[in-house]
Amino acid sequence: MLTLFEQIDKGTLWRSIGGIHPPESKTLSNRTCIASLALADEYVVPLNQVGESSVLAVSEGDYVTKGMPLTRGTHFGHLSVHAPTSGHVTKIEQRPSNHASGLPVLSCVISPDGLDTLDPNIHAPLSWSDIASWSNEEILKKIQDAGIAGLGGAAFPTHIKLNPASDIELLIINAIECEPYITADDVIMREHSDAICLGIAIIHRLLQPKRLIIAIEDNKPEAIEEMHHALNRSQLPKEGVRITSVPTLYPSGGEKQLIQILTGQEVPSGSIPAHLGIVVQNVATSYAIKDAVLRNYPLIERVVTVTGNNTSNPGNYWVPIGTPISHLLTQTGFRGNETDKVIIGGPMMGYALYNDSAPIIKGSNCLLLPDNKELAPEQKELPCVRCGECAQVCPALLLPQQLFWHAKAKEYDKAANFNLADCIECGCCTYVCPSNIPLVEYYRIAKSAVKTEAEEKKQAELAKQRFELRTQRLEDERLAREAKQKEAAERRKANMSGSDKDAVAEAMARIKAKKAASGSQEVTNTAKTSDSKRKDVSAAIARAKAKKAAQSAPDATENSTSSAANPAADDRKAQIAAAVARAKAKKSAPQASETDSSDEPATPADAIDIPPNVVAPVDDRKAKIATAVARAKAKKAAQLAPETDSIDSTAPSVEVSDEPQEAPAPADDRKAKIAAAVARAKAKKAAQLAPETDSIDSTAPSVEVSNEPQEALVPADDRKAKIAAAVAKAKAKKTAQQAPETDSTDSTAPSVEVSNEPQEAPPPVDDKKARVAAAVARAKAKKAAQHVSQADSGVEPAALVDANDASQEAPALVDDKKARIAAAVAKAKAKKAMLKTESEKE
Amino acid sequence: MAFKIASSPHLSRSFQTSSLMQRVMLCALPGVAVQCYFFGWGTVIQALLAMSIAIISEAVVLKLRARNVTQTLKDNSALLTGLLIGIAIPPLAPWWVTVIGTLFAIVIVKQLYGGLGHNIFNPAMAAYVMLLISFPVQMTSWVAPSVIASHPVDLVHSLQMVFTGASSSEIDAYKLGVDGISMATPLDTIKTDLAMGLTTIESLSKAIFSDGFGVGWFWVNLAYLAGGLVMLKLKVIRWHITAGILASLFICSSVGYLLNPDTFAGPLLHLFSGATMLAAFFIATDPVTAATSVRGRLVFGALIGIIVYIIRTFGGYPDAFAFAILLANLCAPFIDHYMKPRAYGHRAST
Repeated sequence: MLTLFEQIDKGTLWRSIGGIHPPESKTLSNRTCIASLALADEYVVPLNQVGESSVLAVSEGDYVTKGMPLTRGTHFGHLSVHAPTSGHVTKIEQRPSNHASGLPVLSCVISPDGLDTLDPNIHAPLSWSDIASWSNEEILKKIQDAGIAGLGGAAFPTHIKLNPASDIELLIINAIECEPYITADDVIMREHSDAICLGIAIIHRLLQPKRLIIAIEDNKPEAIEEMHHALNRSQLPKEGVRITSVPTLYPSGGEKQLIQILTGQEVPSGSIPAHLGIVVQNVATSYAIKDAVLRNYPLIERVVTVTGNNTSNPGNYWVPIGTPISHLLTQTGFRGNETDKVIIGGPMMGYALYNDSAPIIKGSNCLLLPDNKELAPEQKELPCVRCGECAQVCPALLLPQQLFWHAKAKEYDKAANFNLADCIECGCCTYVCPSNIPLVEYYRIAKSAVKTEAEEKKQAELAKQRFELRTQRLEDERLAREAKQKEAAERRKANMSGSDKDAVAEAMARIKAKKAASGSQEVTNTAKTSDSKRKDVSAAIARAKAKKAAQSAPDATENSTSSAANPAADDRKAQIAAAVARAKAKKSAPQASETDSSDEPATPADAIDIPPNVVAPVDDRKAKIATAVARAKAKKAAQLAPETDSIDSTAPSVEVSDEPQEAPAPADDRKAKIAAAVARAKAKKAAQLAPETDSIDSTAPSVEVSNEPQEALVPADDRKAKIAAAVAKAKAKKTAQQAPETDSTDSTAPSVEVSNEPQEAPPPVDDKKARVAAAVARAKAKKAAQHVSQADSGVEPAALVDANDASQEAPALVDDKKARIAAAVAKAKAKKAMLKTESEKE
Repeated sequence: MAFKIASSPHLSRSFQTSSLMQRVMLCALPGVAVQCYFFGWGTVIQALLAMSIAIISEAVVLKLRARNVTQTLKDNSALLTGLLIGIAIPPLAPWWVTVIGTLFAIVIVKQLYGGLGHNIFNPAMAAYVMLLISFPVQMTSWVAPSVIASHPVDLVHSLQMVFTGASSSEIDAYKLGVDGISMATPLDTIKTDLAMGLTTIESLSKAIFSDGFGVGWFWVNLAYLAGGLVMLKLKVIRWHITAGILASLFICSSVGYLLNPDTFAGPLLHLFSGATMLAAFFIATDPVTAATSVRGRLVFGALIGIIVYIIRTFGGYPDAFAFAILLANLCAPFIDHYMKPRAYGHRAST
């Protein structure tokens, strides 16, 4: 048994499957030398890849030289296109494409100056020895930069094909050209065999295959002869390189078919020849490779066969890429009219062109101009008689008849089961069909339908996901609405007790008293921070930290100075963080007042810190939010105070007086208002809690009522923010309701939780999910807090520290949605852990 | 300028269904001629009658179905069906037998199923089976081959017999051989003889046989074989179904003959008797009702051959191609389903 290589060396050919022998009609165009055409009025170079893997390198009005690149790659699959001649770029616009559809494609229109000036990068040809030292990468780069694509018709980027992932054992140079009429490869082999062999030598050098076969169909004896001579003169090794003459049969030039004929192997379905260690390269491409590597000459022209009875000068022409077909038709003496076909490619696989303003592209190997008697006359489709001739000639071994039944019945899934995707659209089945059934057309329709079906499936999946998300959102909104209604109902209930006017007055009085109490310290603070926003922030941070420190140790002042120097404070986020920190500081303050009466002064100090913030960062939205939040918290803290100390009962009045200031300043800022509203609402809630524990505060609810109009002013277009606020509020209410049930001294714990909300809610106003997560986490935290208070009041401080830790983490990553969610989760977990310790205690 | 557009390929082999059918009919002509030589003008009369009825009935049904009549008639498929019915029916069968058979074939078996390409059963064979079951006497009355007949039939008599009807005594007269013994077809004879306890050799020594073959029938089969080979050469048909039939029939009869030459007819007798060559080349190869893939067609053919042998040897009818082909027609979709060929690049058929 001979090995595959031995058989290849012997020239063994395997039987090809199927195939037909259509009339060749090649002599029409291969009798003359390759000619050139006069310059066209304009050249239209399609820029298919622009936007995908490349960007434009020229703009309208630019002067370009012949061979100058028009695009720059952004992706490895990029294939440059070049100016086919020198001139000006007159337009970059949509032009009809050289495609069966004729759909317009972005094209660069070049108006030639008639000089055909070569790009300076193109140089005199180097010799084989000049490139001996070049690396493969350098050569591949040259090939890519020259925009070399497979010239057999498919126009696959050559630099990708010549850079396979696996080792290549066999290189096949495809010079079969099995389609009738086309002689472009035939004549280029006859006239440029040496250049082709040089190109093949470059490919051989790149791939280092063990065997090289140049496969030529036996109907091109002159080309075979020329190539034999050129091969003997070339740099290619004498061993393992051969020219194999292949019997004429259509479509043996198909890549898969040629591999089967030459090696007996089949390329697995859905795979590429490189997986078998085989690369097939078109013969004309090797000519272009030689030009690209040795001359830096890009692929800007190719040999095109112009043939058929409708042309008076059939033959082969060097045609610049981008030449309008109409120019080619006039130059070669087109005799047809609108009732005739103009076919790009051969009669078997070529497509009839609708619009002759389309240009010649890299894959256009033939322009077939048949008269109306030359090819098959149009005939009526008859019923299939199941003769099975199509299956006999199918080179892909398919059952064209079965495919046809299913394609016609639009049973595309069944057609796919009969391996529709393996159809190479060679047209053999249609050629032999005695019933004139345009089988290939049916397959094309079926193929695109299968593709569309897959696409639609994908779209439907997306739509489903969107729908589910929407349902979820609507559900959330509904819950929020219900919570709001509940809240309103409660408010109405609360309104029943006490007169409105008295309540407002009392609240005002309280606030004023508080402000007065803090006035003296405020002066010093304003002097320190009035001019600088940044300082504010850092000061706020410092303050927050100071508060915390005050809780644990008396070295608060030291800490505040050191953190004030923090340089990273200029960021907006830092401000938010500062606000958060402040809020926490507030939280801890009431805590302190509860546990230790000697810490009480801390609360007023807090309130004093706020005014400077209000004045300074007027222009900064977020800062405003932060201040609003801070204020709200201050209020809460103030409200808490009455519980423990009757002297503080007037503090809320300060808050009320603050509000008018707030309103004019951030008038242009929607979000700030929302935040403020939210903050206020919460403050009110906190106030509500107070009456339950202390009869002096029973007037507080009236303040809330007066706040409502403000809330209503919040821009209606920011729905989500409101929802979030509503959710938060609803939760606050719940906790407020639950609080009275517990110990009156512990009632401050829920309020501390509530004060956490504003700090988080305003900054990520655009982030719905994060907020929902945060709200959930907070709700949980609250619950936990309640439990704690019920069980053991001594554990409470620990819980708060926990919560603080978590929220300290959160501001740092404030811009990160996930981080926030994580923080919320962390908080929730902290609560859980507390629950555990509590149960352990029990 | 805008041009005419069309889908590729733009080339096509100018070989149409109509010329395919035409060639089948032309290739059948030698067989028809030999049949005429041995059995008189009856075959031609029947064939012409059946063909004209086929055309007329097809035209009427197409009209009723609101189809393009002339376009469809041009495909020659109705003519071919008529010809095959004409060949298969006994030459002197009364005209109404042929008419009923042809109408059944065209109207019911072919057009009611949707016309050419959609029929499940081979129209000619379905009609033949219907006639054989409905009119067994008329359908089994073959005349004695002219070379050994006591009264060879001439054209006038044939016409008279077919169109005015014939008494059974008249038919019997034409069935008489030169030796004055009434003759059945060779296959019928051998079947009857074997049933009567005679050996094959004894049966073959009768006048209807010469050199181990049925007189006349051997030549008829040979003529159809020649016509069939021409069709193969012209690629009007592919060899797979025919080869399947002949090979399986040959193998079955050889096995039987080797087991017991006395009670089983030999392979050559099977291959060159009755409708073997006509069916193998001209009838079973009707693509519409056959399996489509290469392997499927071999199986389809083999199935026909086996059924024919079984019925000829053990069944109640002397010949069995009509039954065998109809049964195989039934199996064709099933065969196709399981004989799906492996496509290029796929390891094994699924």
